[in-house]
Amino acid sequence: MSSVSLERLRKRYRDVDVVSDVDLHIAEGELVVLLGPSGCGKTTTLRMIAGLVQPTAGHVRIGGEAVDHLPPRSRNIGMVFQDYALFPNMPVRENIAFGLEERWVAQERVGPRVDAMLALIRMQAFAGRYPAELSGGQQQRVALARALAYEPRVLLMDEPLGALDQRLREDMQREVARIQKSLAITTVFVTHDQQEAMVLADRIVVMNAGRIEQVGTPEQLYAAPQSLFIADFVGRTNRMPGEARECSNGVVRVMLRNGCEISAKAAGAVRAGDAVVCTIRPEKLRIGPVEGHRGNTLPVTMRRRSFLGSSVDLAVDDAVGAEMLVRLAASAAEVPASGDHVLAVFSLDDCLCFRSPAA
Amino acid sequence: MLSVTGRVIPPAHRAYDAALLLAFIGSALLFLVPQFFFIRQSLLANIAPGIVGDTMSLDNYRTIIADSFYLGVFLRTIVLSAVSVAFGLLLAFPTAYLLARIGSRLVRWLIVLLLISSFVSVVVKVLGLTLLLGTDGPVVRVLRALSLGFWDVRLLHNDASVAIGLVQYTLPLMVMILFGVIQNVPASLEEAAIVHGASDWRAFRRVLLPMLWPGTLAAALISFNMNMGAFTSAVLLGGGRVLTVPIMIQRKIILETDYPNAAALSLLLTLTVILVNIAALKLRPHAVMSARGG
Amino acid sequence: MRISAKQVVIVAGALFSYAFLLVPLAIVIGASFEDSASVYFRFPPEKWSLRWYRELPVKYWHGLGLSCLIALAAAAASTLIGGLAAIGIAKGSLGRSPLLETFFRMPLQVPFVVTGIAFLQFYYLLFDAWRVPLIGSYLGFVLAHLFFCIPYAAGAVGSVITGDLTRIENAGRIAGATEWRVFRRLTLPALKPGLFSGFFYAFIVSFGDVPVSVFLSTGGAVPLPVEIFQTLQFDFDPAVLSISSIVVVLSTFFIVFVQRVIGLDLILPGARR
Repeated sequence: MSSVSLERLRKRYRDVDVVSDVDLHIAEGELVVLLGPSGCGKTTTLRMIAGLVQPTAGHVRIGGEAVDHLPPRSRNIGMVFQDYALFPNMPVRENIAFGLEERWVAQERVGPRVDAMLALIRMQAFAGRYPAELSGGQQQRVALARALAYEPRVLLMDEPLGALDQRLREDMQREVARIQKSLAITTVFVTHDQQEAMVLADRIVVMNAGRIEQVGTPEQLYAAPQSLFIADFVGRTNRMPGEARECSNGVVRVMLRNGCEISAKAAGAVRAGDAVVCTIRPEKLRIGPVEGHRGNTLPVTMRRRSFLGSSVDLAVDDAVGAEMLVRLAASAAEVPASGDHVLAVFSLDDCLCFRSPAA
Repeated sequence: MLSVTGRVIPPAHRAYDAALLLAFIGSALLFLVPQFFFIRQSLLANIAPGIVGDTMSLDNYRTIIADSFYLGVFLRTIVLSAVSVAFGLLLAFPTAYLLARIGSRLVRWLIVLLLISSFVSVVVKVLGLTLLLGTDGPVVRVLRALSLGFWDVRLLHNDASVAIGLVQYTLPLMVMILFGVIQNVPASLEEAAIVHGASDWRAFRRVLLPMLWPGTLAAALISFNMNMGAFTSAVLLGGGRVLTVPIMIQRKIILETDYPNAAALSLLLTLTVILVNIAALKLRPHAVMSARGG
Repeated sequence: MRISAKQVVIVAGALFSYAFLLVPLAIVIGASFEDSASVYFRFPPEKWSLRWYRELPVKYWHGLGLSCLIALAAAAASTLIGGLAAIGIAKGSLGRSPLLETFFRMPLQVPFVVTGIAFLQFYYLLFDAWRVPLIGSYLGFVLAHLFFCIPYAAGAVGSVITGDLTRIENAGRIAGATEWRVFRRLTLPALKPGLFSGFFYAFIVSFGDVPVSVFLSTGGAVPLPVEIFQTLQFDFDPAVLSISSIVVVLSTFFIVFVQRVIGLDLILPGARR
């Protein structure tokens, strides 16, 4: 297994930098997820690691050596594509054997290796089938087996689970994680689904408009997002726009647009008079009155409840009619009825204040 | 309301059936009637130029088949057509690949150029070729200058020039067909092959070519059929030295006014084409594959 | 940036193909400005002049006009008939019968030269029996051209009738539209690319035809390609260079016009761009 290093990577198409200033080091055996909305440059970055796209500037190192001059086939990488890209004219067995044969592995060793891969993805019975006869999930597994058959140094995955339905997707996420951990193979996984990223990643790289916004473990990104974009993109959050009144020792006093005054933790530099947006996660909100509560309160009106099994989501409107989401444990005490006026309470520690992005 | 096959069909289909019937009747008359009389002609004897006998027999056919001269001409026609198809494919592949994969706005104009080239009748292209390859044309003059032609280079009036003319005739169509076929093969398949270790050539041979094969066969057959029936290039570029079946047919009509034998030759030519097409079907793989699995 | 062998092969092959196809046309245009009446090609011309443009025999203009008219009629009629056939096959009660599809493709298996003389002698027959003068007549040309144009049109229209279309039509039916409205507002627009491309290709094939038309031409009615062919075969006339150049230029304008106004999408159905 090898580490992957991206140094000052840049890709320019016509007059636009689709990827700029990407610096990243991925350790051996790590599963890193490139996360971001469509067009953020994550797929282009992945393809530069693969060698399918030539960087305009910067270097890609695999295992410490620069591979920029090497064509994809010489980089010893495996790749799973968004549309699986299984070879339709070959049965499953031949698809998996493809990489081995192209590397001139001795005939005697190809067979057992393919069998081992089939066992890994639990599809021994399908060895002779053609891709057209397989379901989406099955094709996905074959694509994975094909990519891993020749023991590459790095595994690249380009939104491979996008076309699967929810249940299958979650199953496959677990499958991918299991296989990755058992082989301890360095993996770069691209997705726009933050849920998927949280489940799979050792570390998440959030990208936006061609740049890296933040790198961190799922916990770090969730609890300490460095920008409003990340707070919003990773996990759900409530946005409360307002104006900063005073700021001292990292605590900001904010007058919200809905007329309430709250205290929040400053995320980054905030000065009095700035237009700001405060965020609070739905599960950090409680419905008051709460005994001995000294934190922030917001008067809200209850609208709808959604029972999700382990939790209950409450859609509420604040004083100016903006919708907010409160998430309570299923075992929570009574849930207010629609139309009730209640108090939403939360603590200063859970509330982040960001300067408003330039309008 | 039941149909011939016993399925229940909604009333709308009657309109479509009527459309088909109309088209079928018109086409059947057009396709079959002249051919019927034509076949009949070939069974009659040619008594004198323009005069035709009354009794039907297969004599015309027997004469042709028994004559090794005719067989030689047939062979030559088939070989010329096949060789032209081969060269055409060799040129059409990279061109169609470029058009399909390059993904820039240039493609539109490249296709426009291709369409212009097929719009302009083959006679014009042959005219250009005649001037280009003629004994005082630029190519010969360049060759002479390079002393490659200190013997008298004749670029025209031989099999090669006819083959070139045939390729001119069919190349644009082949490119267009292959262009459509290649577009239907996702680029990710080629990328997958390359990432997994295949060289460009191996990726082509093991992945791309098998997927392109049915389309390539179709393009090859269409071009072959066109070549077998073409005589413009053969007459003008062959200069009387290259004899193909279409030329023979033309001569029988224009010079000898021998309709029955011309008809017989024509039918044998058509039969040959049909036989080659049927034989080529054997080359078609049985598995029907879609580029996107499932 | 590294250039791979594959890129070299592809670009070289494509460049050679384009040169192969376009150089003869360029030469024709270049040679048309040569003043002398010789058949040998000199480029640059020994003496530049527009002589052969000024002295264009009328017969070439007649030929050009005739070719255009024939192609128009043949393309229109074959698009209609071929279109009806394609729709009828795809949506009729017989289902997509391979036999019917083969039937409508059949004419393309017949070599063009055979088609030419088959129609020639059929027209002779009609003339002998009922005094119908089809040889050298407009109708005669069009009918013969229809023979090989209908398969092109039927194929082009057939290729745009997909399963997607049926789904769209069903959505319309469920929404309450009558069969006629479904056809007019959903089916017909979807068929447009097929109809356009069928017309376009039928026009191209008819306009440029020599092997069929050469047998059906008489003194007064000679389509342009046949005119050029006969000049080249028997009696070289430098004016053939200028009329050919005019055809090349007209074709260019026509196709660029189609590309600008209608867009290539309509004449290249099935090609995703």
